[in-house]
Amino acid sequence: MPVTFLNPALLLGLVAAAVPVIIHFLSRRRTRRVEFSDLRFLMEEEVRQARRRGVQRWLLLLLRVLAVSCLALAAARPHWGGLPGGAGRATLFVIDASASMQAQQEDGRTRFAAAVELAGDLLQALPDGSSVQAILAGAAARPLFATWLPAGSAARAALSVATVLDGPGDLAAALRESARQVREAPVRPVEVVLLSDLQAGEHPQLAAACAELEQAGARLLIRRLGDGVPGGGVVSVELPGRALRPGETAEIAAVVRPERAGQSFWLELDGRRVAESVAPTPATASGSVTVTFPVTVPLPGLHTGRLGKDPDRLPVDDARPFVLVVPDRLEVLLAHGADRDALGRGGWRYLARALDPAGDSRGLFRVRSVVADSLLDGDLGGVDLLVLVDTGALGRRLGESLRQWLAGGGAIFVVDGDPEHGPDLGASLLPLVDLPRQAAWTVREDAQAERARVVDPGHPVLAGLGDASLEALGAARWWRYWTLAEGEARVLLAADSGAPLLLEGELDNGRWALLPFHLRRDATDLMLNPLFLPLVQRVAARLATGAEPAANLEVGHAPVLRLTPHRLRLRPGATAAQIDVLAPPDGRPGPAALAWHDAVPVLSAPPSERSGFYVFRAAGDTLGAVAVAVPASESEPRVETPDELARRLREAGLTQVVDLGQTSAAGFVRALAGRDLARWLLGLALGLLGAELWLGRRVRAGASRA
Amino acid sequence: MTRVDDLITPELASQLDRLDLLARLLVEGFLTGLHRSPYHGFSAEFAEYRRYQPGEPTTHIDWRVFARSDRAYQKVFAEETNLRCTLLMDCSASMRFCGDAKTRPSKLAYGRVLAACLAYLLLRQNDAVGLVAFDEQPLLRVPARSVRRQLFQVLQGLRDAPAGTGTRLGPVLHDVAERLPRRGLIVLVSDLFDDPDEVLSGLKHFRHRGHEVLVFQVLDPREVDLDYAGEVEFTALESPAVRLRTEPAHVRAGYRERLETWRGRLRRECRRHLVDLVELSTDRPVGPALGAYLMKRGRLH
Repeated sequence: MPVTFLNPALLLGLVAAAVPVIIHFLSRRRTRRVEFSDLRFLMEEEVRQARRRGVQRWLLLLLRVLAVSCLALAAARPHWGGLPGGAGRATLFVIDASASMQAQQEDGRTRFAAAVELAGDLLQALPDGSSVQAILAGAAARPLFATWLPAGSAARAALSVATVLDGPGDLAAALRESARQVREAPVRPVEVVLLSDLQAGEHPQLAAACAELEQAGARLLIRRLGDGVPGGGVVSVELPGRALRPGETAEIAAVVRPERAGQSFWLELDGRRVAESVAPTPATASGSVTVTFPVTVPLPGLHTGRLGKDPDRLPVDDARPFVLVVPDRLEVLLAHGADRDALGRGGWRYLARALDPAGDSRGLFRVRSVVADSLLDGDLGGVDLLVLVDTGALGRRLGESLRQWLAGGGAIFVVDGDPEHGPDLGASLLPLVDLPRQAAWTVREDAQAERARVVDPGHPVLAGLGDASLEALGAARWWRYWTLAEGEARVLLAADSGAPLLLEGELDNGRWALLPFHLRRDATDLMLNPLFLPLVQRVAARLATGAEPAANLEVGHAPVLRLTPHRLRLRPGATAAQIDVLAPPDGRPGPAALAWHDAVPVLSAPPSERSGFYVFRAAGDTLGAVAVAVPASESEPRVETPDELARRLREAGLTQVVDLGQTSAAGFVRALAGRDLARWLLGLALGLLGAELWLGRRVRAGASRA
Repeated sequence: MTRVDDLITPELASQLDRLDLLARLLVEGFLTGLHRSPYHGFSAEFAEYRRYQPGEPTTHIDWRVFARSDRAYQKVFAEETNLRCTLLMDCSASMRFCGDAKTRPSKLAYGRVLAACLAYLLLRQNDAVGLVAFDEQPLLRVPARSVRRQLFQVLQGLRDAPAGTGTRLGPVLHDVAERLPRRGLIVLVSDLFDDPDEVLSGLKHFRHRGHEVLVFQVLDPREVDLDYAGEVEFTALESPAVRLRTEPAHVRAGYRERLETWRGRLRRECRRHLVDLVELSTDRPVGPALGAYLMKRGRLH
């Protein structure tokens, strides 16, 4: 380990070590010359004492030189094991403010509090003349001080404003900000001290950040806090993924990581605990399992909920928020081809009846049907779902308009099985949903009718239907349909031949589904199947919810609310200035941004740093809410050791990485500045001087006796 | 240039004038003086009667007493005779040492004054005094005489003795011992810095030849104390090529111990062979030192 000096200039004092030598030799030069009568006895005695006195003389000289050297070295404030640098050291503290730092330690403090306290201790323990800066490293990294401060109590007091966040830790962002601060440091060298629990994470920009920090010329010192796994928690909430109908029983699933077998999880909706479920035993001690909660869908509106368990050492991941939107009614525009006796025409009525069985628009869907030829752009205003049934060619302008509407968050359900639409299918409908332009008309004899099989029973459209219902779906038969290439779309149902019978996909923010057959008895008897109605309704509800994630938005990402038609609508005349957002943790209102994407208003707030509910308001009306949860990675038992992280950083290009281990504040300071050798050297110098006095006195006493 | 008058100052002469040098042994001599002859002879002062023992010569029988008492008595005379003293002056280079030229003379100067005092004193008593100056070998010889002029000869010899180099006391002493025809007093003035065995061998030779031997060992106080500070490069006066660099403070104890051992041996051996050894320090005045010795000799004899 190297020896460093806080005051290296004072090493010039080592020149003083030559003083005893000079005195020694100068005194030797002042030898008197005396003529003596007889040297016999002198020579005999000199021969006897020469060796001993020579040793004593050189030993005295050595003691004096060493004593002076020790004093000079002590003045230079040497430190053993420290890092190179003098009194003008700059230290940048990177304090991990991710959610996992809220985990409590055995001493009752959170890791974050321990890190802040440790940083404070270090601030005051740094040598005089040091400069300090601190970075709070959450999902984003930001400096705590406006500029570099002198190390001391003032900087320590400034640390007290640091608060832990609920988001993930972005090591790459922290290193990039560190590189920026290092470049602005008033002195060199700069040590970057990372105080973190070292939750593992993927950092795609890590190599670039390491290169940036390497170029800035800093050294990274890693100090780990905590002992790894904070405990169990809720990893994610899986909402039904489709529009729910009030009163229906829906299942809300959650991926949880139980602390123990048989641990109970609960679900709150609008502040009331409405369901409980016992987690099955995970396959591994730290594995995740899925628990489901049967929930009776409440009345239409915006419902906030939490899914959690008894809090453990990291309470912030033990209650995961979510927002459940129950739409009042979904507007369905059903555009169909002109009725005629030709084969495949008129099947749209089956769909209309399936969506609105009573025909009184009292259900979830209010269906309005138009002839496709009269479909205009303006007809899509307020439409939650556009159903295109046997429309034939849409025309280039209308096709582009529909595609744009779909990509902007619309929903389109395409049903087309007219063999005469082959060219149109490939020319307008398939490009509308980004499917390959490959369509082959398939016809089966009665005896060779195709059966359907469920490809993805866990899909939100099919989830919860039960095995019996799905078996009933197997009774349906198909004789005529288009065989399509699914491309990147998902296949929910497929024929025995493998041809897809129900496809689903997304286009930007919109979602679409496609049935490549028409709803007439000569093509399929699906309409007669008892599962036809729920299947159609589920597909429609699924499409009408849009493609945006309904839950599991994590801290660190900007809460975004797309005001799709099925949500509460922006009041006419509302302006951006009237829109604000109530942000956690205290619900303080803040500005919200309003943008229009493809004629769809999109509200957003700055990237969140706290978990909870972000409620967007406009002129007093609640427009919607977004639940922001603690990242699952913060509660996952993926903790790196300092060695692993150091190795990863070195591989990423940061050469100067030091593992400080689990040192105390004093040890930490020693690691920074090394062990202060000044006191030892002073003690050694005193000891040497004492030895010199003792030896000198002994020599002089011998001489005086003589 | 050292003059004779410089060697014997009036102050020094007045101090010596109050003392008499009494020889411890009777020596053979023919000049009447204060010294008793070891031989009871015919021309000397009557001492006593002693019964004649058969076999003795009849020359000294007092026939008058024999006639009156019919007993044979012999007259015993205690003749006073002159002392034949040979001064041996060590003129080797080591005798030039002077620890502090401002306050005291060199050993050689001190020894010359001492020898001059002795010569003056002895000649004043009509004793015969001779001089041998030497270093490794005899450099100058002044035969012993008791004439008045002899003082001048001795003092001139002391003055003109060339500066010597090394010291070889043993051969010189043997040589002198062999050359002296009659017993007498041998006064050696030296620092005795030589092989002690050879020195003692030479002294014993004198004793063997019946001489009274008196040794004045002259040392400078710094030779005894080695009172030097700091580091000193010593150069041997008798061998300028021999040098020693040392810190006297560190070797002082050992040096003193060795010096004292050496001097102790000299004392023991001299005492054993009836050689009077007088240790003189150049920081003591010659007069009192010489007087103290003569007082001591007076008490003993």
